[in-house]
Amino acid sequence: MPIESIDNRRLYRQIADQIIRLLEAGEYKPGERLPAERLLAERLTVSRPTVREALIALEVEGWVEIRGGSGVFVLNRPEAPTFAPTPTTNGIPTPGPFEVLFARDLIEPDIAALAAKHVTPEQLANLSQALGLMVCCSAGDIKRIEYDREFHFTLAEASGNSALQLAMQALWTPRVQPVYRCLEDHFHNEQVWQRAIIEHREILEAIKQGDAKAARQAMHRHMKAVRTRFSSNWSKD
Amino acid sequence: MPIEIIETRRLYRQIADQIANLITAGEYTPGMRLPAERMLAEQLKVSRPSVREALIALEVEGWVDIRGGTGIFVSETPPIAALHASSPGVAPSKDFPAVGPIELLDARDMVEPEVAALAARHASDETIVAFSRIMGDMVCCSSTDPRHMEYDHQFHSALAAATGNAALVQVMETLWAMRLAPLYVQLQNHFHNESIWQQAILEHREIFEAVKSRDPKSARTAMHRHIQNARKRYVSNWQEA
Repeated sequence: MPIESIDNRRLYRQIADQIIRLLEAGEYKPGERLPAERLLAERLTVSRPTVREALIALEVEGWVEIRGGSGVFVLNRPEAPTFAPTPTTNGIPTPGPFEVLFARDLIEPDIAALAAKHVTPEQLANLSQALGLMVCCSAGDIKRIEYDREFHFTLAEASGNSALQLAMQALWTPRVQPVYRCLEDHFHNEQVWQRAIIEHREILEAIKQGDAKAARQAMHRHMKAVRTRFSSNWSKD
Repeated sequence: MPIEIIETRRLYRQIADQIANLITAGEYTPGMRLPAERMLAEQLKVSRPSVREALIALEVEGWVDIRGGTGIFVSETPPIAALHASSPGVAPSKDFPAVGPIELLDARDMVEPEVAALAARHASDETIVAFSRIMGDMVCCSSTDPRHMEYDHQFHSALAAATGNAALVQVMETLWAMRLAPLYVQLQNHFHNESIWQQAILEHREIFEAVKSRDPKSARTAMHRHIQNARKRYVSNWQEA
């Protein structure tokens, strides 16, 4: 069974479904290693990040195990093929992590710039507190996501535009769903976390100084950095 | 009871609450005309669009009647305060802020020009066909037909879908849901007529043409113009009743 080219430009879900069909057809057997990400991307003529999203989705659904740099291995087929129906919100498919990051990079730099102009002393205190909690939190502590959320939501609030606050909420929902979390876990460690804290501190410094341009740039750098981390090579186990 | 100055930067809700309190206190009695929008804005030291949002909110809640260019009159039967406990007086919570139409347009102006540019880059031929159909529906729809809102929604949703990014689709739908809120619809009703609708159709066509010719830059500019124009329409003078 040859791998078919995906005509529709995007969607990790289609790729994941196609790989599932190959697994069901016995093209790849339990214990076998899947072709490398780069090869899959070439054969499916899609981008590597999209293949990565698909592999993570398969991992969440129990079809494969990702052993860092050693490769992606087929697991024994899930008992009742957990065709985890693609989660949707109001009929809209859940976006993949890279889509979320792309959309956030469109919106959050502007939010940061507005926040630099409009932030209140109380919001500034809340931002500092969120950052303080991040600094005191170790990479392994799950609460870091809560602090991260607090930081970004307070910024949205500080933009003074409540429509942007709601847009931010819409973007955060997929960020706490399994595919995103699973991808994040693969590329998370103490060093990454310390780096993320520095990125947040740069944003806060710009906001404190009321420097809209610097705030926009710092947020853009943060989004790019997250994307780069998620696109980097698998770490060796 | 003197009119107090609003301290914080924005917020039609605070203004609306203050005016509602003045009405409850009998400062303005049923049938009385409120000071002109411009006067209110000066006295409250806020912008005219914020006052307008406040007045529309009060109209939706039944505190005042807006008779176009004639003026704004305190309703003959102002709502019993208790019945409206959930609207005036309740500060919008952090999780569910009450979004004003003007800030919604500001937010859309940050997001949608990029959405249009991405759509121009990624639109498939089928998407272009879908756009043509929506454009056709818009052109055939008269301004009094309530479906014009639906076609408008379809157009902007189709653009978001054409970006190929589901996260942007969610953002757009979130923003659009606010556009269907009573406050926005009421404001739009005051500033909607055949010539405005024809103008809006032209603006959508410009966006469509740019997407069709796969020109991201023009698509971005056309969308920005469209949203700026919508904003201008809502802050223009009241129509004669």
